[in-house]
Amino acid sequence: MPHQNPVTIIMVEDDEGHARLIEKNIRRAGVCNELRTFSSGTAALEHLFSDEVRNAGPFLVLLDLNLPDMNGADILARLKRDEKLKRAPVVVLTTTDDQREVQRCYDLGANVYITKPVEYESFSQAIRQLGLFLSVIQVPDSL
Amino acid sequence: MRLKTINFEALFSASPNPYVLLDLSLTIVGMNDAYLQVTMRERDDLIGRNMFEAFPSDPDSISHRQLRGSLDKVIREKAADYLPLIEYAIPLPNGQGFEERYWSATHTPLFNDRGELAFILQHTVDVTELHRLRNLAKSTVLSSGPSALIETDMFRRAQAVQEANQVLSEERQHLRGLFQQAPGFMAALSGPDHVFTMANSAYLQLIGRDNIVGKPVREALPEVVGQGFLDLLDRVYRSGQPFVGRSIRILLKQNAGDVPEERFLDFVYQPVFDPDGQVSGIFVQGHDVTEARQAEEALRSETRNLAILNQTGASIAAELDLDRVVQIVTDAGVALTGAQFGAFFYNVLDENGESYMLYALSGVEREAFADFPMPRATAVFQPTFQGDGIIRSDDILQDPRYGLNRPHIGMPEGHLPVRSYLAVPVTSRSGEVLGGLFFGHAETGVFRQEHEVLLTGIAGQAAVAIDNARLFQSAQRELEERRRVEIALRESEERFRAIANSIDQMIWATRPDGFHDYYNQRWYEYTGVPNGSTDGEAWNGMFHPDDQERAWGVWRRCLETGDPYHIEYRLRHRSGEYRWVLGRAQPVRDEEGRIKRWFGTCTDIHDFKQAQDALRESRERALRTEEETRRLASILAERVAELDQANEEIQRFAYIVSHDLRAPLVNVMGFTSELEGAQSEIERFYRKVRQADPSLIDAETRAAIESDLPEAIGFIRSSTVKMDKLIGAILKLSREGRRVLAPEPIDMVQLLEAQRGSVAHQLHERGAELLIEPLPNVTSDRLAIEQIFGNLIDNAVKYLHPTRAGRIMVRGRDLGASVLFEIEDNGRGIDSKDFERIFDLFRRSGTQDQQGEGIGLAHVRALVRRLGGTISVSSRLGEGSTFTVALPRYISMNSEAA
Repeated sequence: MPHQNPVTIIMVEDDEGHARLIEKNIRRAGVCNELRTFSSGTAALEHLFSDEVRNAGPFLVLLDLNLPDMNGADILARLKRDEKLKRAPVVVLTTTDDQREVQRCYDLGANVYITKPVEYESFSQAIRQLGLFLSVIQVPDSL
Repeated sequence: MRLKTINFEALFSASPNPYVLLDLSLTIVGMNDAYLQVTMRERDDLIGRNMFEAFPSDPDSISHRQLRGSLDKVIREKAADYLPLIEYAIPLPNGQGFEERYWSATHTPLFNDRGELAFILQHTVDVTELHRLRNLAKSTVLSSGPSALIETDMFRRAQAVQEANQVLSEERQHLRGLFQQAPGFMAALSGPDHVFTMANSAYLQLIGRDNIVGKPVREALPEVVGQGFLDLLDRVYRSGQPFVGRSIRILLKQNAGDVPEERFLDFVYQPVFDPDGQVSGIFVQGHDVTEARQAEEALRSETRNLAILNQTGASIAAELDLDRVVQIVTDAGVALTGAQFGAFFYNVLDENGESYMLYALSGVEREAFADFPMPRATAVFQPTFQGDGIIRSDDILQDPRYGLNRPHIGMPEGHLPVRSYLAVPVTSRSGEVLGGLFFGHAETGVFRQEHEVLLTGIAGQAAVAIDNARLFQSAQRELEERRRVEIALRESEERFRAIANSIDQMIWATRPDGFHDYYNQRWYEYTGVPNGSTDGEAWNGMFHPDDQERAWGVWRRCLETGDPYHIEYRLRHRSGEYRWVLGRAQPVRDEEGRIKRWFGTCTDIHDFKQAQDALRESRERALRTEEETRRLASILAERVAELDQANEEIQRFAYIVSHDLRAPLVNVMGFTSELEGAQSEIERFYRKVRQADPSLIDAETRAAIESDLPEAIGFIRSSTVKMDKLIGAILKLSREGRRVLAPEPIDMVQLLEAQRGSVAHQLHERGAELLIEPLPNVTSDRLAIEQIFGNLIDNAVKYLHPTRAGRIMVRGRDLGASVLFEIEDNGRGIDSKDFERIFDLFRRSGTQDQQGEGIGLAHVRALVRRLGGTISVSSRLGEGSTFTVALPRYISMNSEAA
């Protein structure tokens, strides 16, 4: 068994407030993994597809769908097409609860889909559950 | 067998030879009269007694031992034994002692059915007399003389008898030979059962069997039973009157399995009388006249056939009607062959090369063939229709060509039963196979070689007759045709003249140079000018002044070129009015192509032309209108497209906006919560400070922490909750607008009954009732329909009058292309100023005492419109409301665009 690297959380979220709230709640859930936030799809893909990152790992991706420069679903599709990155679990975290959108994300290979609730209590509840999820999932070591 | 036994007994008892029958215990079981006579005893005295008891003797005596020895030997050796001479005394009647007797006896063993020895037959002859004579001779002094004389004399007598016997025997042999060799048949029958006692070889040959002697006729000739012969025999036997038969038909089987053969016999049944004058038997004699009769029959048949042939030949030669010819031929064929039925099929090849037309039938109704297809080119029929020759079959069912073809594999069901089959092609002189003659019979072996010959003759005659009939027919057709043409010609000439004067057309003719020399009556009637006044070139003056020059020019050009003349111009009517006329003319040329005459017509087309003008005008008008309509329609379509596009954009806009509005709202909510967290921290700290040193807290601080902060956060919170709901509503509406409709047939009553279920609880709580009347069905989007009616019924239940028993009624009406639904309640009603407003988003009416965002009816209206329908409300405040929904009966996928 090779050495199990700690999971790096990559968050793609253009809304700074959302990003802050998500991070706060993740930390409150007791998750202290490294967390990197990107406010645009382009920046996030650039980072993920750079050789040193792509071959390192493991990752967990938190993905917002409404990004200024591209649709989050496209990012998801690109990740799932990649030989290495496709192993990274992707949690879609967005304001849309449109069933077709949800379905599409699952079809593309999303692992979890969370709707950002406006009601804060359920929002933080959801994030805490995500933290729990993070602590139990086995993220495969990306070679 | 009984018969045999009886005869044997009679024979036994009547025999002059004495016989006695012993069983193996030597008990006497029977004897004949001769025996009783010679032994001077009574039958009852002997039957059942032992031989040696009935005729006692000293067991030690030679006689006794001789007799017993012989009988024992028979039993032992099962072979006959002879006692040439035995002395055996027999008792005299009435106990008068014994009388010495000499016997010569034969003991014959008799066997039962199983071949076991059962009886011994003693044949005994009293030779006492002879023995005495011999002894007398021996004992005389003249030892050699008289004795030898006596013996010699007896011997001579015996020899004489023997010689006489010899002669008799020879004579009998001779008679027997005569009897046997007689050319006629002879037989003797005995007794009431007519048992054959003898039959000569002619008789045996006739009946084809030999071991008949001893058998009654019934048994020997079983096939004649039922043919009347036994009755005849019985009658002869009973009456003693002889029977003489001439040419009597009899069916005899040469062998058991054979088909009975027909013979004709001349014969005599001659009764034979016994000495008492009783009939004891019948002597049969006669001869077979079958061949003579057959020859006679053949002659008769030939004569008849010749007559038929001649008659047929004569009839068909005289007959020119094809159907009659084939009918005569077919009838003759049936008469000649003795067929049960005959048919003539005419050879007509269709594209498959196999169709034959039934022409004539004989011996059977035409209906018998009505249900069958024409015979096909099967192996059976083909040779005939190809003219390959005669086909004759004794049993077509056994013919190898038969039954090879589907679908019937043999005769079709219900076909006339055919076993004997005979078919002859009918071939014309040119070699063409005209058809075939077919004959059938339900019995086998009916048709013979001679029939083939006869039919060949008939077929030849038929071919000639058919050829003739056909020639005659075609000649007649031609004649008919010519006659028809002549009549037509004559008629057409007359008709032309009549037409020329009666039709509504003016007709004229000119010379080759264009000089008009003929106008029909109609021309003069029409123009009203005197006859002959327009000859030459004067006609041009009858034209409208504006058309004269043009018409003249066209006419001159036609005269030069020979082209047909065709022009429309105005011609002066007798009324003085110029009317439009169509003028046409054609040149008629001679054989060299030179124009001989011009024939022309003028047709009044004035009314037609006017109508045409009017039509053209109205069409133009219509076209203009149509164009205008089309223009308007295209503008409308454009507008609709624009509207659709705008609508689409609004929906998209609403969708995006609602999303984008939501994102900051998440932050507002999120950070408000964070703020609340911070606030509670501050409050905790504030209470700590106040406890420690109340002087540190002034009124402003207190107000800020205790009331301002919670109040501000409270408002932020309630506002964001409300805003979230509004955004949700917009999102829902915009999503509904984007949903693809799926039309399906909907049972409206069923749908509403299902909805009754979902409001049943509320109805019960409020003591209200929902009545659903029969409703017309629609083909529409089920989800949309459910939401429309769900919302309307929900609203009706929600806004019932607080003090009145609720009553909600759903009604429907069929309007043809659309259907109308009404949801009526007796609730609190809607103010008329709000009728439009209630359908707007986020707008509500009346007392706000019920949950709701004001999107239900907006949603309903959006759905109804999307389905291509309309919704309206009528209401009286405080009395109730009626929502009326009109929907198209059918929506299709593309009706959305409209």
